[in-house]
Amino acid sequence: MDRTLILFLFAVFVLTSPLKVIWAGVAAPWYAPYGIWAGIIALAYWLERRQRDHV
Amino acid sequence: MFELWQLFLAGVGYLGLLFLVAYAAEREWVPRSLTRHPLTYALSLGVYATSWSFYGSVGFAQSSGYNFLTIYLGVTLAFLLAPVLLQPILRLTREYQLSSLADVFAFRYRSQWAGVLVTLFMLAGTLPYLALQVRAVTESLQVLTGESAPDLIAFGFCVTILVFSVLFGARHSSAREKHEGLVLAIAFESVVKLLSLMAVGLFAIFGVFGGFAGLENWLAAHPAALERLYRPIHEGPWGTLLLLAFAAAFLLPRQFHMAFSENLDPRSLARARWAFPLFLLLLNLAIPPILWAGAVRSPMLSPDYYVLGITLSSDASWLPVFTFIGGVSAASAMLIVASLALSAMCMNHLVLPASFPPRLGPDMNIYRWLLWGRRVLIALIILAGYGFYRLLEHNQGLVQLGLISFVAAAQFLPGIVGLLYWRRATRAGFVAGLIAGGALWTFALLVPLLQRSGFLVWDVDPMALLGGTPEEPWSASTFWSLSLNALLFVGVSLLTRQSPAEREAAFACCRESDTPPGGLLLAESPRQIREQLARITGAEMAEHEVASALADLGLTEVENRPTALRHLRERIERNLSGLVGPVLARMIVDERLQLDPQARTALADSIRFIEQRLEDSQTRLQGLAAELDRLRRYHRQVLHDLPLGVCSVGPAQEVVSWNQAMTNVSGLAPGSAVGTALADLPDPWAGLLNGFLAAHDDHLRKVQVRVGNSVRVFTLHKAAIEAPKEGRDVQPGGTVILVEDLTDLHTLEVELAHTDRLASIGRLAAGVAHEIGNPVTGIASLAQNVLMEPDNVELAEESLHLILEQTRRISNIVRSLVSFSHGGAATDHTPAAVPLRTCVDEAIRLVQLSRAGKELVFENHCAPGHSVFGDKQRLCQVFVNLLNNAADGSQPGDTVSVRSAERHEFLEVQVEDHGSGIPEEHLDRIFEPFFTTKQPGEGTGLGLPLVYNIVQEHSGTVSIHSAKGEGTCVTLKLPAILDEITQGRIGPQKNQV
Repeated sequence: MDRTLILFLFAVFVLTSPLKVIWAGVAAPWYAPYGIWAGIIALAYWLERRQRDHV
Repeated sequence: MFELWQLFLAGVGYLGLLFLVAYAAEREWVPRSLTRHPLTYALSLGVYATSWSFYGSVGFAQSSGYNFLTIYLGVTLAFLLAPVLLQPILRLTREYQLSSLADVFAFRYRSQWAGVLVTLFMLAGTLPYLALQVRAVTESLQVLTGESAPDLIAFGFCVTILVFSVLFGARHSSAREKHEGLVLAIAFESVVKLLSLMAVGLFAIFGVFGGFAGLENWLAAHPAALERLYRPIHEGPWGTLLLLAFAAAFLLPRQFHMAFSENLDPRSLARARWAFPLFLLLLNLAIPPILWAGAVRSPMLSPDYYVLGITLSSDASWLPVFTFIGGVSAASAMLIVASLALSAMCMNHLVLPASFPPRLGPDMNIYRWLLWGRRVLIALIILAGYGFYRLLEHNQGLVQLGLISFVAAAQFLPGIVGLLYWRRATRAGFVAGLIAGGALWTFALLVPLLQRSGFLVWDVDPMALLGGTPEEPWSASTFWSLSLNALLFVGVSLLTRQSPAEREAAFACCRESDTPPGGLLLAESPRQIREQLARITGAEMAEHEVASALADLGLTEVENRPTALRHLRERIERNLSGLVGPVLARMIVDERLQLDPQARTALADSIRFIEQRLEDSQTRLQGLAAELDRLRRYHRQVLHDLPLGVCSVGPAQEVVSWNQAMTNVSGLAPGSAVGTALADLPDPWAGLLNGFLAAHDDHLRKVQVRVGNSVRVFTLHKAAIEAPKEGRDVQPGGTVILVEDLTDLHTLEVELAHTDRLASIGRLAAGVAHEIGNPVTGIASLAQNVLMEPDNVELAEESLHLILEQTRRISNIVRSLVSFSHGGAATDHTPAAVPLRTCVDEAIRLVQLSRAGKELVFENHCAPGHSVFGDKQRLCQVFVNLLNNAADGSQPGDTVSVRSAERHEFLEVQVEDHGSGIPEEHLDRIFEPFFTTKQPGEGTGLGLPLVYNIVQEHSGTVSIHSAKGEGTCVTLKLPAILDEITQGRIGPQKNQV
């Protein structure tokens, strides 16, 4: 449960904070937002596998 | 360019394929493992991606840059929270058979008005979205054919979708049934959408730009293209759109329907946390290349249709058709699922409350009425979407229509958060918030839409009042509507009070109820429940619902346990909720299946309720609570696995716990025993346990009980469960009963005793031969005398009398031996009153057959009135063993005496000799099996251990006092049966050879 909330807050932080300037800067490649998105999905996959193994 | 009829045929052919997929799943031609696979579920959630995603995303990217991704990133955020946000809703919908968001709110706030309001608002919010789908399909035809598609095409599309929805989405009368065919068909549509859009994306990269390098070169040459994508992220309504998509992910009717109502396995939701966002990512990966390719190849076309436009420049003629199919797929999935979801809401919250019970003839089938009602509603909703499409002004962007629905869905956010996490939220607060939010949504978004379409002439610019712009009305409208909604929701909730029913529902939703529902059902059997229900629902529905609820709970028609009947009532209410909605279901059971509110909740029920809550909360417990839960589980497992039957009984004489060993010995599963009154348990358990509970003694040893076809031997112990000094939930008191199954041990003991008796007989053999030999010799002599004087009648008569007497003597010896040696099964020895004097006499007779016994004087001083309750043969064996030992240790001519005396409720029997005594160092070991001081062949070492066991079985004790050279006194203490008639004492009876 804790990890779920931490991942959610991390994703909100990455997507909505001024950190956007880094991954959504003009110099960023066109696929940069997809990379960030894929990273969040990968973390969600890791968390789900981990929780599945613990059940 | 294509001909209209070609595309029409392609579309109809695709929908035919969709029929086939759904039909194959329904008929189970497709393996269930595929239909129920978590990835199929995740793909079915892809109904989220409609024509807006398929066509409109490119237009959205053109106008708002990467802001278009928020519509999917918001969904990703919502699914990251699945365990704390979506899982509780899924649990609630499954547990209480709630089939729509309106059901959920009506259940939580116990208000039909809440359901009506949610349904109307959902309808209003979804109609623009339905219109969007119809418009996307007709406009895509226009792009591919170059001519305006006649309205008949749009109407034909709607009718085809209508037929599919009715055939595969409304196969059952209630929304509580799952539709595997529908789930697989929607998942199939998602795959088609994905493949289609990826094919267009690959064409854009390789067909238009000549590969990734070409794309990079083009971007390097046109830096403004990339800047147009990134800049809006920092300037546009990024946060607002994230919030709207977050809410839409599970609050839009179609999302709610696929995520919760059609969920085939709750575990699939966990897998969807990453699988569904991954699907959305792959779906959107192609959008930027398609946007740029469209700008290169079809600059004159609306960006909303670049997806189709660029494929027309492809050499492959299948690509535009496949893309068109992808668009049809996106639109049809949304129309089908949204119409199903809305029809369930309309049926439960608009039609049924206005018409229930339906005025039908006695022969009418109510299920058929409900089924056709839903089908008619599906048709009306799809046709309403078509009507909205006809009325709308067609210059409205696809995204604008979709976002209007998103803002509408977001109005349910305060209500759903309150439902899950705020028990204090009230019906009045929810309704006030929703009305205010809905009114502002109408003013800010719906009014301008109608103004632009020319249906409303009102010289007011809502955005000017709210601080937004006509180009970007989303932030202002979302902020004001949600703020006012949430403010009123919280404020009015704090100012108003909940009804008891609302409070109960709030606890159920928050999973915080600490007591089980109270009261017991007045009806006393499923038959009575059926009769009561039939008065309001009709006999057929009552019959079906009661049978269904009984089957769900694994109960039978003869069920009469009060707690089981109350569970049956709850199950009926939940099943009815799936059929007619939670408010009507509650009304029906409250009216016809009344409870006795004064009845006390059984302890078994309280414990079961608390255990269930702990089970459900297992993953949420942390720290000390988690440790305590682990400890509880450990103790429960210990109790469960104990190789000793444990049955605890509550203060109301109902079974509270029943462990595995009890199940093994009784054949009664815990499910059927727990909660049952002790007196209602099947024989022999009701009599055995009830009788034992009523008895004063805390132990009942070696009681023989017929269980099925065999006789088993049990020893029972009981102890009172002390009431804890503190504790609110669990009623104190009761009794715990331990049941020891000693059947195997008892059989072994019987065999051992038999062996010991045979050994004793072996030792008596010489004496027996002598005892029988003497009368035989006498008989021979007498017979010879008679032969010698055949005419002497007097001698013959006297001899015959003597012969008969000698024969009786032999018979007595043989009978004693046979009686003593006979083993038999445990059942052969029925306990009865055993007179001690008779028993000792018999033992003395046997011992006197031995050589040592012949030379001793045995004195039986037992009073004739002294009797014990037990097995005569085994008690006789006790005295034989003791007297044999005494004989072995005595010298010829010594006296061995047996005497009995009353000691309170016991008889004390002393067997005393004046022989050699037992050495002190052996006294501690004489009760050990096979310990003997006799020569090999003279003793087995089992005599005294058997004495000990037999006396203990008779609830007695054995003690030995012995001194070397002075003799031994064995004292037996046995529970007495005093025979008052024969209590007079007589002198000792002497037995001597």
